[in-house]
Amino acid sequence: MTDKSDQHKCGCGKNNGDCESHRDDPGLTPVSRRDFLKRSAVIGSGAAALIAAMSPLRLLKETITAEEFVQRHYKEMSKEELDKVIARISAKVRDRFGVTPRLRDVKPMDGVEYVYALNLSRCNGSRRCVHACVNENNQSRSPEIQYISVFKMPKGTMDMEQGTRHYDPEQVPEDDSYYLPVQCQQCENPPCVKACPVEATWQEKDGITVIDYNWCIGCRYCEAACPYWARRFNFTEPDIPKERLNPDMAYLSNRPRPKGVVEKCHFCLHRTREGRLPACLEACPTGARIFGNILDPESEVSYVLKKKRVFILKEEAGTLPRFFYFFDK
Amino acid sequence: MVGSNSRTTFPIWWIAIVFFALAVTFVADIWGTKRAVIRHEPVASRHFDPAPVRTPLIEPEYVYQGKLYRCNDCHATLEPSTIQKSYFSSHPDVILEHGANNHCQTCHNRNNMDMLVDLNRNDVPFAQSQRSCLQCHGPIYRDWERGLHGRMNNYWDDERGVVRRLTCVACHNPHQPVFAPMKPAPGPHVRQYRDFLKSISTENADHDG
Repeated sequence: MTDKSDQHKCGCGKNNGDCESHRDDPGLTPVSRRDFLKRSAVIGSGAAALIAAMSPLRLLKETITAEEFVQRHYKEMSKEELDKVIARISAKVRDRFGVTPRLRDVKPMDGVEYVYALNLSRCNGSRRCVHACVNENNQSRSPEIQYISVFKMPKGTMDMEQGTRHYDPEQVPEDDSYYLPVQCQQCENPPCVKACPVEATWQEKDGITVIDYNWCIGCRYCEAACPYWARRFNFTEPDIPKERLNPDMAYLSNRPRPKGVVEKCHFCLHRTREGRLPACLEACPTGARIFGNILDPESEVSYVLKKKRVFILKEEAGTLPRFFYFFDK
Repeated sequence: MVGSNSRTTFPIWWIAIVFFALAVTFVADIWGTKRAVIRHEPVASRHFDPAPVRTPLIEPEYVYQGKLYRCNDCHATLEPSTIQKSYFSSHPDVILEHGANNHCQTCHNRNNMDMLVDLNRNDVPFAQSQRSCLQCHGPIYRDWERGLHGRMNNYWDDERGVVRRLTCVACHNPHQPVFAPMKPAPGPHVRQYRDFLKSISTENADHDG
């Protein structure tokens, strides 16, 4: 009754042919429950590890949107495009910090060229300017990005190599030292601008060298080109506590920067282009800092340049800084 | 058959465990940079307070034992003073260290203590005390008038807003005019890593931006 051909009758209805399933040994060993569990555990964990390894991609969405990716250079944008960009950045700031910023684009004023003067006899190294700057310009707080480096210098030398930024005595000034604050010198012949391969940084007509943070590719060539060590790089997403955010912002100055771009002092252009003084000057407890319009012959800086023995840092570099130092009681 | 099967799957089990452990560490970001770098707290707001170091006296007022007096409330009843640099019984907070200027009446009108004086004995109100100071500090007053000495606030452009120029006494104590030393604000952050043993390392701190 039981025939071999019946026993192995194939599902296709034939006992020969190329469907292969009617053979004695079809090449498959039965899988035990234990082996099945083992293999699926290995495959499952491998897949989980792969997905986990890809998890940094989750952050990509927050880093750059399609709109940002196709955004044009600041100087090429029309008024309407720039307004849209500003609205988009404002919304982003609002989402992240819960504050609606007063973000706008401030253009340079006509007939104005900014010059900074600093009286080194007066500077006492208290670093108030450094922190006023951080508070004004929405730099990352951890680690803190500081635009101003205050060098403690031994008396009797101008050699910056002999200075140190790391001093923390009980009281300043110390008898054997003077203090040299260095920030962006807003050079008339800026090496950083020449170094930038994508023209993300340029000099405006009032003398301020600015950066389009959306155009910067983060190559850091400008940072290397600067003889004054004035540029800073955002190695991490800037860490700004919500309550410390300064909502008074401009596109080219202190709006929160993304990770991976260069930033630097811009003479507080959102303040100075509206006639106000820079934050570092207002915080200086000794009044060592003097700021103004060099094209106005009656201005304070014009008086300093006419009457005092001013000097510039690293004159031999040929950068023509707009930042002048002098010693005067 | 069973023995050979267990020899081949034994290492696969371990690979699975390692994969699982890696998956957990990736997702929880245990080795990530966020955890390795020390978190810094933002500096205290007093380190960037733009307020001047002193609050100058605008009115000739003095707080004595919790009560506010005008100078003449007491001095009108007293003999005009010719006192030199010495101990003031009612003004323990006044210590006169103003160089060669060691008489009260050089700056204060000894017949009307609500007023200051210049060297011509003209009255100078407290709110314009710089007119007293300029008698001796001429070059500094000249520089102050031009915005070179002293502090400015608000606006650099007088067409757009008020240029506020602080007076001498906003920074200098007239009785001890040398600008007092102060504690510096915190310096730049140096790179600090937390290694596996949770100790903090600041290697190569000078190479940090």
